[in-house]
Amino acid sequence: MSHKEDITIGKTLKMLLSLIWKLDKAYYIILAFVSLITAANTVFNIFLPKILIDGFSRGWNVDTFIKVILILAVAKFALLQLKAYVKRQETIHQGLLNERFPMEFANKVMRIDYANLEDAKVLDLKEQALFPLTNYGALLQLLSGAVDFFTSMFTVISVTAILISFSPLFTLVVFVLTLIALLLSARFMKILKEVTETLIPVNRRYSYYAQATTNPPFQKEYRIYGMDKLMTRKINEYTDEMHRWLNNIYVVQGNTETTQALLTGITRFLTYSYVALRVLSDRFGARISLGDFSVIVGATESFANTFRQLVMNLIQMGQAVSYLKPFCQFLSIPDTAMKGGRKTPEPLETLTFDGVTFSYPNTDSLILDGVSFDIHKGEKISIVGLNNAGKSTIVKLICRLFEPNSGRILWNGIDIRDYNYEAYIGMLTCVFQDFQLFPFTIRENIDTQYRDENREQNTKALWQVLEEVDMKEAVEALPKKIETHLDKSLYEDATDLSGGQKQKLAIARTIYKKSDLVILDEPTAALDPLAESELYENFNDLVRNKTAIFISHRMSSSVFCDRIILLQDGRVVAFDNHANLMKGHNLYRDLFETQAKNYVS
Amino acid sequence: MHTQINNSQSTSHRKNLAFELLDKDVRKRYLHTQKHSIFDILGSMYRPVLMNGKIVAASIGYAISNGILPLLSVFIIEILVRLLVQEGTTPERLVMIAGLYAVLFFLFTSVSTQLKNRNYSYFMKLRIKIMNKAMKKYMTMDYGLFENPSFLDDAGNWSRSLESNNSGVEGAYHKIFELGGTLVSAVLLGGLLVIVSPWIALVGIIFIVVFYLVQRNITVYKHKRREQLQRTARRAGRFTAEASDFRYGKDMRLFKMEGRFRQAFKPLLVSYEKLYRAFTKRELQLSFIESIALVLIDVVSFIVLTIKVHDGSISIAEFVMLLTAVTLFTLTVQLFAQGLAYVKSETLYFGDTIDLIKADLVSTGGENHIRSEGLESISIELRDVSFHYPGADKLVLENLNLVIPAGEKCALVGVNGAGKTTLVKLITGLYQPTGGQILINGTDTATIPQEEIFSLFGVVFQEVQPLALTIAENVAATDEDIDRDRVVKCLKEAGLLEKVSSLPKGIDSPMLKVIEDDGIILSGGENQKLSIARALYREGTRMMIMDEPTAALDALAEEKIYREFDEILSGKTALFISHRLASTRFCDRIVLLDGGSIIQEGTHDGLITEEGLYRRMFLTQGKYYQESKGEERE
Repeated sequence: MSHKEDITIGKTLKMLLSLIWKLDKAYYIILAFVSLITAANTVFNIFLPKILIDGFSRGWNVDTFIKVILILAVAKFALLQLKAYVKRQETIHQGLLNERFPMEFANKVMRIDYANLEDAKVLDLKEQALFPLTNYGALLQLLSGAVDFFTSMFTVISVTAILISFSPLFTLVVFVLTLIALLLSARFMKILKEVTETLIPVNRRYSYYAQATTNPPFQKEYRIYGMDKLMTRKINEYTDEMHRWLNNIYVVQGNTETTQALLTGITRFLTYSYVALRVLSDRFGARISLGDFSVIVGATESFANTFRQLVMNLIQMGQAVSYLKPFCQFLSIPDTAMKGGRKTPEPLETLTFDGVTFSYPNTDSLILDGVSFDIHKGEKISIVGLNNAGKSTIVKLICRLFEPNSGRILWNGIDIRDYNYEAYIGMLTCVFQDFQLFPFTIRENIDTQYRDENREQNTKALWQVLEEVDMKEAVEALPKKIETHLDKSLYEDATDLSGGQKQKLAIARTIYKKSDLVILDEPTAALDPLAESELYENFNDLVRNKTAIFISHRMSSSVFCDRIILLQDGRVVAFDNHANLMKGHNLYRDLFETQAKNYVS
Repeated sequence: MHTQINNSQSTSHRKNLAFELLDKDVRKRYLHTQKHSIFDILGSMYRPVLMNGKIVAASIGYAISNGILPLLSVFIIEILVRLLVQEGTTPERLVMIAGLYAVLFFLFTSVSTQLKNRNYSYFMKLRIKIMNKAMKKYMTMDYGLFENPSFLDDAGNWSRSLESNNSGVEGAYHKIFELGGTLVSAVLLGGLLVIVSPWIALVGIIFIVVFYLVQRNITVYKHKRREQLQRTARRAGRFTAEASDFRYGKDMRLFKMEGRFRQAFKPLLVSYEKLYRAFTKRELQLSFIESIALVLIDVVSFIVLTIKVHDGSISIAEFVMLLTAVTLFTLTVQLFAQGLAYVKSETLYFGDTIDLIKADLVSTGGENHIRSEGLESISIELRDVSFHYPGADKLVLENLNLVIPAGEKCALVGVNGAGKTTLVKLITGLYQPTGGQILINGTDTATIPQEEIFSLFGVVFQEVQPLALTIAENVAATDEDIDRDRVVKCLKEAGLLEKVSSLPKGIDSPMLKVIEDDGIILSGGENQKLSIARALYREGTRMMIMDEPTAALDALAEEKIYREFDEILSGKTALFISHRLASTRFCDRIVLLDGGSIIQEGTHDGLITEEGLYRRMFLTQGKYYQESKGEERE
């Protein structure tokens, strides 16, 4: 599968650059401006003392000095304000990019092949992709790293120019010393990289427990079973580990910085001695002024610092890019839309399973083993079997969420894969066993393709469906009725529905969608007996001319179906009506009688 | 102070925080007993630090060694320039001075770096300690508070100051450590400049004040608007999380929701942009003042210094030195002001953390105890119990009376939304009734410490998820002194042992993929069984409560569980909730909840002969089985 393809750091960087370009074209221009202006500021500060010091040898009087100082002040003020202005643009654009990245990610999740979403490895890749983005601020690290990098680069270039014009040999010496300092810190960099890589998974695990501690789903259990101590210990296991590593890092960092200090000391010693000697006599070259002395000392200092900074920024960016590698890896999973043929499906006449064999990707166990059956237009079919018999898998295959390993599924005699995906999906509707409602309004949850243009006409249809699932009264009682939001954590005026009501909305959504084939997978699990029965009674009305597939552990539901597919160990062991199945000795009869005997009065 | 309440008396004086803290003003008063000034916050941050002599010594050592460095740079320049303008300076002298400087520089730098880095992790430990306290508080506070969004909005900021090494409280600790050095530099350089001219130092101080005020203004401005930002962030977080939630994948594709989500992102980006623009606009406007103050230091000191050179009151050498001093002073002062502003903004939320740790968030009414040693089961009595959720008017339960004798197996049935799950929350002590009493073995639960009530129940909730622990840890709800034989026994009783035994690591198999790559993922029904095993494992469990424990199971598996329940329960009191009425037949008694109170109760056989909702529900559910019986006979 695609996610296993490891992508290189170069490819990651390329993807990131083009993604940023796609999302915000102005960003690169702003980046360039910020770097240039910040560098200009640094260079300005190096030259500033020289101008004043040289003023004395030029014999300026106080008035001239004041004039010059005021001009310099205005220049400095202008530079500072210009910098503040472009910084502001940078902050805005950077912040928005940082918000857009998770959205891009979400867009990708919605487009990739569904099979990926049941793959534990892809789920893991998702966690890996999002964790550095949200917890490490990896994108911000990359973006601000880039700004710093280019600032350092422009500064190094200008400072090098100053130094070379003073003495190429001296420049070389300073360069070599800085290089040695960097090489000495290479060991630290290596350790830092290793530790950071070790800490990513530790940190992820830590975050899992930290979130589990504060998130809703487990709060009842924590209290009833007094699990707070367990959770605290789990968290501390990881914080202790992080603490140990960080302590090691900082000890090494301390030693590295001490070594650096030694080299900085040597550089300064050489700089001060040499530059002072150049002021003192012309033994090592043309004599320079006191003003030049201050420029060269400042420039050398700046060169050593900025050059080291440059390398650090590069490392920081490299680190950020490697953090974002899983993100890019995820983004390179291909979209589904490309798949499938171009045919447009006709209204359903027959749906055929022809020797369908299926096992979930990366697993050995066959879920479906040569499943064959025909369903005809208008039939109501029930699929019955034990837990894990493969009932829901059949639904997923029909919905083209997975493809069979072998065998074919035919819609009017044509392989469903030959149809255009969108057009085909448009023919189906389904209540999944683990259905989900979305954080939008009731209207948008039922009329999922809602557009303002056809509001009037759709509203009528919508209320009708609500009535059919016995939700009309409940929705009418809400102040905003069908415009009520469903997510209480987001909207103050939202409503919290009970499990049974949610299931009714899911059924409403399914009926509302105009389709040829209706699939209902455990649609009554959360409904009380009266609501369940109501659904059964209305079912024939609800799906009237449509073909329907019904799956339920409530055996009573198969009574009103035309035929029953009995699944056992991935095979169809019977395909008949209720009366005939009850005549023989089979699993169906066992299941049915187990429940039925409870209702014999 | 709690007065002992006679059990037979009805209303209790027990605190019921989920309700009491509903009102905004009451909540603010209760939770934020005091407004935290920066000094209070620093006070509580540094109490443990001041006790630690080693850290105090290190902080002072760092401040001095690091603070002296800029002064060293100033003096080397002064000496060199003085020597350069003097007649007869030998090159050897210059080199020697430069050498001496380099040695001093190295010494001070290495001392300060070592002190800083070797004490870094101490502050992380401090943060973790605070975090542990806050988390414990969060996991043990009244459950009702947890379901109160406005309380969470108010108290939920506690974690913001504890999230990372380089922000919040820990960030402030590190910054303050560094600021010691900055402060020493600023004082030394400022002192040097005062000798020359008090004006320069004065402008410096003005700058610090202006910069700090400006930064504080920005921080406070953002802090005030944090709710707006939070709202946008919460929505964006929620929409992206749901759109990227794999569990939504099927419905997302079948109902083509992609477009709707994309559409939902757009206004969020617009409001983000608005907020960012507003925040940064303020910054830009105020940066004007900052820049003026910054340039002012330069202008004043340059003019003062050049005039002094012209007076002859300072030499060129001193001029160069003081120029360096001014540059360094400006830098130091800027660093110091930035540092102060940083500490201010990073500790802004620490007040919320302190409040959470200090607040008493567990409602507990007294010191009565249930003597359950030696007992296998407990009895429950609800007297005139009424309940509505905090902030809602609608009574979910109204004057409900119910007695469950010790050892009874009781089934609770009712239509959707009848209040069954709410009743479970009340019995287990997760919520307190708004009217009436709940008694365990005759003792009013309002007078029993909450933890003790919790310890009596084994509960299987409707939606169960395992934690990323091993199977044994999930069953034992702890990682210490796990009775492994008991884990196996409970798994067997819950019907999960066969599955667990088939795993290579057995009961030590890690669950979920978050922690271990080879973690196992169980199906919904299996998770439910795991939860049953957890309820059975606990020695203290005197009553089992199961909310739809077999909803996800097929008929045979369901039948098996119910057949074996008697053996599993071994005399414990039990309460079952189920929509499958037939499965409640094995219970001693069935109670029917409707319209907030018990409308029918009795044995199954008794109830189906009675006209009423139970009979109606039972017949409705059984109808299809009956009709088919008829068909069969045809």
